[in-house]
Amino acid sequence: MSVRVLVVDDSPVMRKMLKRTIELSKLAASEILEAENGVKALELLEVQWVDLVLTDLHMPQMTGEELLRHMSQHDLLKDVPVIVVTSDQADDARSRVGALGCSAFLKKPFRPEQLSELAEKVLGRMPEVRRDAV
Amino acid sequence: MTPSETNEGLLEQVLKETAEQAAFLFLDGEGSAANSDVELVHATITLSPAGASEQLVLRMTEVMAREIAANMLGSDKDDPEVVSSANSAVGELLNIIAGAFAVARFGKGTHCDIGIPVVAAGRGPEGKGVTLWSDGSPIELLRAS
Repeated sequence: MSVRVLVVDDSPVMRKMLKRTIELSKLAASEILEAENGVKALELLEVQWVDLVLTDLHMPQMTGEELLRHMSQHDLLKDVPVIVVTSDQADDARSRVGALGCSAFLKKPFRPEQLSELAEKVLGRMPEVRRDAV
Repeated sequence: MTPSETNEGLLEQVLKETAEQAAFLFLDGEGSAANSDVELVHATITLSPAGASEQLVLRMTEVMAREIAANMLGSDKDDPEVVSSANSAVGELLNIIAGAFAVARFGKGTHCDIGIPVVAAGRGPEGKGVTLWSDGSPIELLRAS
């Protein structure tokens, strides 16, 4: 099953890293879209279906937390799995995004296999991760 | 108080660990005075724990910035994509350092806003901190004064 992934991060080098990690994983991504903040991500999500969103938290214009809030209030987007990939390690960041329906939380720096394993899990191969990973 | 309990000790610890984990760069305290002719790049980021505010500065040569970008992307230093990503890599490295420093200094239970890294050419702000080295090239992590 091929998937379409949206990578949201204001750092170009991090978007490239995430994109390469997904390309080299077993996810068989048919397309990897990129957005530099939550506003651009929502614009893309309005016109393109994606199977998985990877998002940073701290971004200009619209943060990852605000993006999650918008998605959680949208009938078509609320069930799209979201993995938050962030350098923010504080407990309150985890709990806030967890409350907004984030599927998993990955701390930067990460190993490529950590991301690919987590992505496979939240895409339904191990549904319990959606409850436990946050 | 052990070195790791001081601010400089924490800066050294998070710089070493983050550079190794995020950019596969192994740093130590051995090096000689930096060549003043080399082009420098710096990134700044603001941490705001509980109403306070402080700024971290990461400074290095442009050549080192390119090496970090190459390591992050798994490409050659001369790859055009690496060259165009060098400044972004410095900002991202500081972003990750800031997250680790915030937890080490204030604890996981303390809310700390982490700003957006800003990258520019030149030395940037001065402050107190640490200088570590990789292959004779310095990397400085400072708390801006």
